[in-house]
Amino acid sequence: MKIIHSADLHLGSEFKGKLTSDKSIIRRDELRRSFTRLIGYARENSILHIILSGDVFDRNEPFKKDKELFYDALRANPDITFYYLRGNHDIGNSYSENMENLRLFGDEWVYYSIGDDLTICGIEPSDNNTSSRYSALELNKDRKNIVMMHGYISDTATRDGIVIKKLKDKGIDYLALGHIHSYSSGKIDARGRYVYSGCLEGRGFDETGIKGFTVIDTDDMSDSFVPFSQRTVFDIPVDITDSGNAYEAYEIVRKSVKIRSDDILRVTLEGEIAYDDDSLCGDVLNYSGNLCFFVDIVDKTKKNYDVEAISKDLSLSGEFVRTVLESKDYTDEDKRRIINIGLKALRGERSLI
Amino acid sequence: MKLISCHIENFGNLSLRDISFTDGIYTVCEHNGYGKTTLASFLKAMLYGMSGYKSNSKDRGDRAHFYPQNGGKFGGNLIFTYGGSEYRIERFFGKTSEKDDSLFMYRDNKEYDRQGKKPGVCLFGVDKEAFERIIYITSDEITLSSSDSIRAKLQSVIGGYSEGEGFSAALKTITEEEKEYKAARGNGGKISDLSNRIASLRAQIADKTSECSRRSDYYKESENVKSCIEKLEKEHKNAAYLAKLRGEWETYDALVASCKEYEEKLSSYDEKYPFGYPDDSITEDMESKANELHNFSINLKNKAFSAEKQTKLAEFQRKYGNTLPDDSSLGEIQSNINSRSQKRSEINIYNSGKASGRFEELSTVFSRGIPDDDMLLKIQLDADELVKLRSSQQPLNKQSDKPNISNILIISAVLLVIGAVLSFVLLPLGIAVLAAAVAFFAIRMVSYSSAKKKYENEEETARSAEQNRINAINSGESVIKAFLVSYNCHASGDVVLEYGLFKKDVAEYKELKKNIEEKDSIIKKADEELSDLKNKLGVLFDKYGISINGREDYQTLYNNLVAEITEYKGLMKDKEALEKDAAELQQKISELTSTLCNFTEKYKITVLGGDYQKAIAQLKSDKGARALLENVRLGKKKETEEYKAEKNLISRPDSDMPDIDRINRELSEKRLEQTRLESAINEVENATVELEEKQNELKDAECLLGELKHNHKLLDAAQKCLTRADENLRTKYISPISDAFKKYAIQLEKAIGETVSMDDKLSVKVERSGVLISEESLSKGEKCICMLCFRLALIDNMFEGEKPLLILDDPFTALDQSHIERALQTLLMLAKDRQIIYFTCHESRVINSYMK
Repeated sequence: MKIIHSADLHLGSEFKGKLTSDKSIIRRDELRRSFTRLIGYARENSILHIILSGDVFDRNEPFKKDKELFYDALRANPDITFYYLRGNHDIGNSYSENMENLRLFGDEWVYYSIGDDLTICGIEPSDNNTSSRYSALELNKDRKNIVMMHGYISDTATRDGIVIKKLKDKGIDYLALGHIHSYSSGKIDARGRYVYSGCLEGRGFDETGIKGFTVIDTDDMSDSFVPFSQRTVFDIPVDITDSGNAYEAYEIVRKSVKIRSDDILRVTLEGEIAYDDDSLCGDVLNYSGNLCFFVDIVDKTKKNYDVEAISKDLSLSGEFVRTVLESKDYTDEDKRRIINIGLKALRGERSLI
Repeated sequence: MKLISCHIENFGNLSLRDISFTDGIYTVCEHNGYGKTTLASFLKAMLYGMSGYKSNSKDRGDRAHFYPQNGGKFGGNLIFTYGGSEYRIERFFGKTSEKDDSLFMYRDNKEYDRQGKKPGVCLFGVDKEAFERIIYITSDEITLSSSDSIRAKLQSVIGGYSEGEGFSAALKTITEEEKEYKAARGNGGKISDLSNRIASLRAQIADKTSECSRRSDYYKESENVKSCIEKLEKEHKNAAYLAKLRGEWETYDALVASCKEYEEKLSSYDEKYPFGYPDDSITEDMESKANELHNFSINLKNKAFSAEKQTKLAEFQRKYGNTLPDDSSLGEIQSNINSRSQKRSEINIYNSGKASGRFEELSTVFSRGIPDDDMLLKIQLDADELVKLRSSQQPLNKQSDKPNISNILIISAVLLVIGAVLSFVLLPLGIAVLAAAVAFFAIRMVSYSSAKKKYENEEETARSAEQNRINAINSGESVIKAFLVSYNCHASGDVVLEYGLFKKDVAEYKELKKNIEEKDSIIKKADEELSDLKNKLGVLFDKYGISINGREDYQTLYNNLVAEITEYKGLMKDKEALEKDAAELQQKISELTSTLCNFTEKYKITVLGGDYQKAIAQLKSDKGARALLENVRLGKKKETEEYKAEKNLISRPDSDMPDIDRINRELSEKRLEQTRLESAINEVENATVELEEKQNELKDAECLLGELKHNHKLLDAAQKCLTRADENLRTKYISPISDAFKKYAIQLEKAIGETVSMDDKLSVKVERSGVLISEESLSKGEKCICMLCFRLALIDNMFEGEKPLLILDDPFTALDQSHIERALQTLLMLAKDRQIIYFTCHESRVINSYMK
């Protein structure tokens, strides 16, 4: 038997990354439809159990339309059983219906038996079970055990912190975790392993990389990650040291970045450049507009002006640089920018910042 | 600093060149294209390197310009002294990038690596650009035009740009950009705009927050309404169930009633047949017998002699009695009829031959009788005489015989003309001819008169005889014409021919008349024979009561007689056969009736009017109908039982029917309320999204406002620093330069022969005839030398340690010879405490030994 493990759908959330309004609407809709796509995958692959390890909704009081989307999807697929454990985002008023194919959990362990040899159990994060949750867990070690929890791996027991070592030798085969939005896994003990399935779609530049879910094969309790996101979010650092101007910087970016046209990209410009300018981001962004669905540019380059050399120059420029450098009123970064402004003004340039 | 030597491996057009520099002035006097500028650039490149370039760059700089096109290593070495040490720079360049360059530097023959890539900066404290501006002097750099001032030049030399285009312009640019951020007065600028936007966003967020706070209430309200709807739907469902159950019981009751109805119908059939129903085989047999009886009865009826036939037979008996004609009698009648027909045919033939159109036509012509033969003879004689007269006409004189005068006149006229013509030629001959002409005319006129008289007498006699003949012809024609007219023959043409035709008509008429009279005689005889035959036939027909009076169609009468006799005989035969068959049928009918009677009595079957067929058919129908009804009844019974089982009808509902209208009404109201709430929820959720967006926007805007304010602060700082730098520069250089310039003014006085001074504002004044005049009054050469001194003063101030060398690239091209000599002498003096590399392309600008 196969079971889908997914988490952190965050239905109703938006993409955090300054998308344009039309793309923001598209992305919000894509995030919402990721759940129905997940069910579509289950149907196509004859998978009849889906476990959702928390944060199905983005807020404690989810929007009605998001709840309707979720419960309508469940209602439309009565042959699939959904195991919905609430996370730190949707711990509030997110349960609204009791349905035949919906299995719910609480702040104490809830166990569900499937067939002769499989148990799925889970506990929701609560201040009441911060430490008791570990001792309260009782599993039949002769059965295959899938345990659902939501939180981050921690050394100390907190509401959202999960102490893996306290789950050792409990008989867990697969610890289906939610909360961390990227796929990761590790060992609990000789028998079991924990797995973060990650979220279905990246929702910002802090959620980069391939997103998807895992499919557990209960025959041998193995699991495999299924890439599933409609768009992949990238935050790629690009060294533009060899560029002489914004267009050359764009050319380096274009050659360095290998993405699909559907993806969402942030490029962090790095390296040392001899030309300035504070409009570099805007210029590179203008050139890069058509690279993919959405592009953001962040400038973290260092300007390798030989300020020291200029400061020795017997000229107004040199005297200006010396004056700025000797000042104690400004930070080093401010001094760099003031020097930049002054030198550009002395060169007769019009746009100083 | 002093250059010792250099080796150029390859640099521009210079290749494998070794140069040793001398102290003081090192002069290179070569023609244009020799490579003086290349050498100067080589020295610069050794000290400061060269920028790389990209393949698509437009400005590729010195690296591309001086790259040896013929190959070989690009660069060389330079040896110089500075600060008491000897330095050696070995430097080779890549084609495009600084990454491919190699640099080695030695101080006092030891590797020295603290200079970086730009030893010039390290050693002299000036960068490449400043080195070019200060140490590398061209004719452009040393020229002071009438519009320049030393002060402006100072700015140009120090800052690399003119005063107007540098500090002030930079300050203006910064100020303008500051205004973009924040207007000097009022509330304009990006900062103000963004602050307003932030204030607006905060207000919108406050509104939206208030609006969004109702979301939870809406959800609760929606849940309540939803629960009410569910309750009502449950009630509705229950009511619907009750209604359905009641309906099902009603249907069941109807089915039960239907079953009872069929049972009652079956009872009525059973009452009708108290002794039951005979077997189908007996019924079939009896039905067959009934059918047979029915057929016999019909046959019996058909065997009866019809009234019509009976009437007919009676009529024939009355008509013919015992006198039924035999075949010979009938043959005699037929023979007479045939003879009569033959005679009538003959008469018709004769009558048809007698009739003739021609005879009728001629009868009309001769309706008054035919002329006798004497009259015809007399008229014939008159016609013969007329023919003779017509052929006896006398001929008249010929016209040609009539004498002709025209010939005489023509001949006489011709002769007169000839005579007249000849008179002009030969008078005597002319007169002779004229005379002959007159004579001829006279003779011929006499002869003509007598011939004319004779001709007229003969003509009169002929005319009289012809008139008599014509009168006789007309008289003859009148007689014949009158005769023909009397017989209606209107002779319009020749009377002789008309009379001929009349005679033929008379003969034809006589012949036709004779023929007709002969045929009339034959027809009369045939008519008499016909009359005999008619009488004979009248007697024969009359024997059988048939009158032929007024009838001619004896054959028809005969045919009718024969037909009636044949029919009479047939009727008598038929009657006899029918009477025999009827007796047999009557016997069979009696037997069948007895059998069927026994059958019906046994089963108490009612037989109306002895119609056994109908009684048995009714029996069969009733039996079939009963069987059908029984089937239906059984089906209904089964259906009823199944329906009850299917609907699980055990007990009848005893609760009252809920008020379904009320439930529907309340449900409708709640659903309406739910729709309204959903709309409100949708709005408040959208508002929540907008609120979040506004909050994000506010966050971004606040962040941006901080950036804008910071940028404004930086612009302000840049402006202040620039202003302070300008002040520093002035304080730092102007007074010392002015002082240093005075030192070189001594040299100037020697060169231009006048006292030169510089004030605190770097204005150069020349004392001429006891009056201080401004630098603008100096000649071009004097200005050039002043400028050179100024540059030296500047260098003295800018380089605190060892004085740098000077590279002069033909700076005096604009001077006249007298000023060149003074300038060169000044150079000689200046070269005492520094090295000067002097490039020129003309001998006139070379320092001669006598100058030294």
